Amino acid sequence: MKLFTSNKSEEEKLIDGCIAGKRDMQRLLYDLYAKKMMMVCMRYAPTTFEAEDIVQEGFVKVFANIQNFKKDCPLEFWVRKIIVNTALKYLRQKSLLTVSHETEEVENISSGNYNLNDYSMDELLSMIQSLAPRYRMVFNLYAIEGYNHKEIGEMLEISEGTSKSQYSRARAILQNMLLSQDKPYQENVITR
Amino acid sequence: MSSPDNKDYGDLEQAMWRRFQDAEAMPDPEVWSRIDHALAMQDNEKYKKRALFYRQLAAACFILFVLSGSALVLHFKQDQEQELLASAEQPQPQTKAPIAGNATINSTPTTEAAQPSGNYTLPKAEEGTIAANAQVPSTNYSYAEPEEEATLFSRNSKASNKSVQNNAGQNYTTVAATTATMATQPGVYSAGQLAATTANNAVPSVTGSQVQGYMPASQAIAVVPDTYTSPTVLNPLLRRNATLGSIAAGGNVPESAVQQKQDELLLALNKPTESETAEKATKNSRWNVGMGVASSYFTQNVDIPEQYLAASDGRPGIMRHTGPIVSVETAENLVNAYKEFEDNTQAANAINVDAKAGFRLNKRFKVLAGLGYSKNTSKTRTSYIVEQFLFNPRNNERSKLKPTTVFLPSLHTFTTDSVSVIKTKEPFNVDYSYQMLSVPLEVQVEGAIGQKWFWYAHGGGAANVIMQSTIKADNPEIADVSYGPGDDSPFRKVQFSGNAGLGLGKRLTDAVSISFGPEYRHFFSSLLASEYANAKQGKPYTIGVNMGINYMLGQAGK
Repeated sequence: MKLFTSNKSEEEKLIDGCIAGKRDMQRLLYDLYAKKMMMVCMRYAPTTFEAEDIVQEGFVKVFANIQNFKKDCPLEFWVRKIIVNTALKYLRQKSLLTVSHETEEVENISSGNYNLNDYSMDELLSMIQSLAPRYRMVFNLYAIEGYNHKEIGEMLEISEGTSKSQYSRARAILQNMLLSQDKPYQENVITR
Repeated sequence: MSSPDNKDYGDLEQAMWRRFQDAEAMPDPEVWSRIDHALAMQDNEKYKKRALFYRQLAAACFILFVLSGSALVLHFKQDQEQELLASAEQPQPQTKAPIAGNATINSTPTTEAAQPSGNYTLPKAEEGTIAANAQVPSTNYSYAEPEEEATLFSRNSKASNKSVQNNAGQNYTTVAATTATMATQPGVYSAGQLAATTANNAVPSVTGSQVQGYMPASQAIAVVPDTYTSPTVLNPLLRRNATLGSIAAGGNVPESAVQQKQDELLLALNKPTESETAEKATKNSRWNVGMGVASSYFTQNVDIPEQYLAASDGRPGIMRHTGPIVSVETAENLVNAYKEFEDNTQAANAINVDAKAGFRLNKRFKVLAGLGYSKNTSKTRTSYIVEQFLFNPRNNERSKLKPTTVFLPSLHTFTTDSVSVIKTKEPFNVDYSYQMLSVPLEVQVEGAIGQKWFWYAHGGGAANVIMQSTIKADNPEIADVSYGPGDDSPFRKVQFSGNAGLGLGKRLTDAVSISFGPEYRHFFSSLLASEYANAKQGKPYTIGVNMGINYMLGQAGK
């Protein structure tokens, strides 16, 4: 697994093999990144089935366009970018990114402290998945993928301000969810 | 995408990022199988696309070859026909005889007909005609001397002339069966045998009894079992979904959720993705046809050799020159006429109409080939008329040739006895017109400017066959001169040109677009044929504006 990430020449061999259409090299690349990309997709897609569909479509795109990979960034970033774009396109096609889904009201944020380490990955994931699609997209793109609001606005075809406001609402909803779980207080906690 | 570490994130964002950055989840093992299947389908599609591309390219080359060949054959066949006509000593009238109902064949005597003992040429007839008359008895042949038994039919190498020969006063009219059968069987046939052979050969082609054994397409489709064509079988996603539904039914997942999932998937499957739409558009728009009209200025760039005729005033002691007798005035006028031709010959308008078929090589490039017609004109304003005289020593008379402008007689050395160049009171126009058929082959590159507009640039070559060249003078004394494609013309019969153009286009619909832009055509050789191009010749060219309309095949109704 670490073989290709640490050794550049091996990674180049892998890329060249994929460009040549060698199925064993494509399988190797898939095995290398499939788990991470599955988690990415699960953050965006409402269900596991849809996440798998996005993984499938995303990797087919990766193999179809790998000859365009400029090698100016790690291969994982490039693959992740394609997967994220595929997820956005998938959800857009399913009309899940329309304004009609953004009717989630933000309740008053209750006060308290929480520590994310107290929550399992499944719990965190289900919290993110329970967000409205547009909030989920903005939250994923900003907090985890690291895009800024201007980039997110371009990707989702919304204004920068809309992206900011949607993110703040998503963050508030998520905080309410975290606080409502009644996890015991520990040190190194996040205070609102 | 920038690293979140460098951003002003809150604690929540940083904690989330740390938890999810390297988190992993195992996808279903079937996902790779589906990817593998999709990749295999893509490879197959690529292979098919490539095969289709090469097939279409071959078809385009073949069409171009046929078009070029046809143009050349048409061009040179006329010369050949004229030679044949000239060689015929006494042309005889043609007679037509009705053959077996509705077939009619010209009966044209040829030199091969002069064979003894009544040998007859078997003309080639249309298969359909024979078929329609398959049961015609031998009585359908009209005999001038029906009692004669030795009616012989000989193989004729010129059966394609579709002629029935009349020989020795006999007026036989017959139709051959399929040429392949009759013409390749040297031998002797009686008229009855011929009729029998005709019927025997024609009947199978008419009844089509040998065509039995094939099932019509509608029947073939009807007998395919439904289990082979149901959507669930054909679509792997639906198949998987059906499986999932059955599993869910046995588990705790509610049925309504499974149904919703299926509906969503169906919705997603029925909606074409962007790549599919683009692919479909590329597939459908590889071929296109278009028409263009170009209005241009044509410069013929023809120069005539200046012949200086020495004047002979008949004074004794002066050595007689070998050229025609000219007066001093004529010699001066001739020089002035040459200068006038050089100064006053101007470019005039030209029109070019062409129809092209285009074949898209990729997103930007396409190959265009087709057929074009152009009429290029040029004009001279002159005030000189050339009269030439010939002396016939037999009857001791001088005959006067038709007056001309200075252009034509100057292309070759004056061969007449005397020449007179007269200046008219008023100058008049001389128009030169050249009608050409072109077979262009071009490469066009296109690029989009916005959603509807696009730019284009094209370049290529064309073979131009001059069909008619005319010289018309706006003077009643001077007769018009016109050269057809087979005439002994001073103009080059086939010329090659380089064409280039660029411009803008607009897509009116998915299938129809219009274009507009400047166009330049440069001929690679002089307009005059080599044997007449004694003076230094320029190369003709046209420059103008082209307007075109283009239709993408397979885009109608989209």
